[in-house]
Amino acid sequence: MTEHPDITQLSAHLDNELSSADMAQTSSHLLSCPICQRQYRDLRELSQDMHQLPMLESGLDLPMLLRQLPERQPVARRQRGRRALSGTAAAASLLLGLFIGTALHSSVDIREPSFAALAILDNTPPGALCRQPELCYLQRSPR
Amino acid sequence: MQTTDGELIRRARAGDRQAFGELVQLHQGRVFSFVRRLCGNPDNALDLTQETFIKAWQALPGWRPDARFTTWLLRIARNTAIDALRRARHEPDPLPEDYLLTDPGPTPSRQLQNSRDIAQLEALLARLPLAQREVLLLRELEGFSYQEMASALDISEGTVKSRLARARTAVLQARRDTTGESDD
Repeated sequence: MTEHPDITQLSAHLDNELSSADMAQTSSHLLSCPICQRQYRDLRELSQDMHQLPMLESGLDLPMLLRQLPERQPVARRQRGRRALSGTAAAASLLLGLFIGTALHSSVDIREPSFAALAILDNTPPGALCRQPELCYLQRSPR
Repeated sequence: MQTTDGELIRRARAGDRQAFGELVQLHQGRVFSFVRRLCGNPDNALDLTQETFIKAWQALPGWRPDARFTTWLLRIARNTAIDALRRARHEPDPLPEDYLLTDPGPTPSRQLQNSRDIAQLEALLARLPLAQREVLLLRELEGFSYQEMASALDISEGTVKSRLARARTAVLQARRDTTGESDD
């Protein structure tokens, strides 16, 4: 016989709130253990008794309650207002993004290096013709 | 019922007081019974039921259909009752004197025999600590799942499971003490 499940396990089994493995294990144990069967029967009978407790009459004064309900904004108008607010926020975010993007673009000075400067880094093999003679050969400066 | 509820809720959310009134009629017995058993005093229970529905009216635009309407409503009722008990700083009213009754014993078709048996069970429930009583009521009378109780009470499902077991054990033990029956 497996170890007795505790009352918490039996209670959760009654409510069908155990995992399928635990349900199977507890069910299997219950089939062969008179002690747990008795505990389980007590729990089940309590549950059955509780279900017989009557619903109580409230005697609530409905017209008076309805008169006491506070005013509130109809939900449709609220939703329209919320939608309009969302739209405004989205437009503002877009404009702010454009503004920041423009400001960043205009403030950074990006100059592309001239082709002549880059040519010196070219991987021209030794002995090959120089692609930019003015950089490969010294020139006399005019007097 | 659920369809009716859905249509009434939709209209009540849009501000239709008549629809809300119909919702109150449908659910007032359930809310009152729960609050009455939770806090003990019938006069307080009536005030708390009324307060629950006023709060529900105000909060209804925020209700989402991912939770059952009853679950949502009873959560408001529970919080309202707990707040009131905290304000008053007392536990529920004491038991009636006649709860010490004889147990009729189990019968083939388990039925509570009469109003005295019901009164006895009500009295045993009233003796439970508040935290245990509320899980037992929500489970047995309202059919809440452990997940729904955990959500309504802001506790873990593990706590629901153990608290419910303790509540059941306490009622069973109190019953045995009442009848003189041994538990072995």
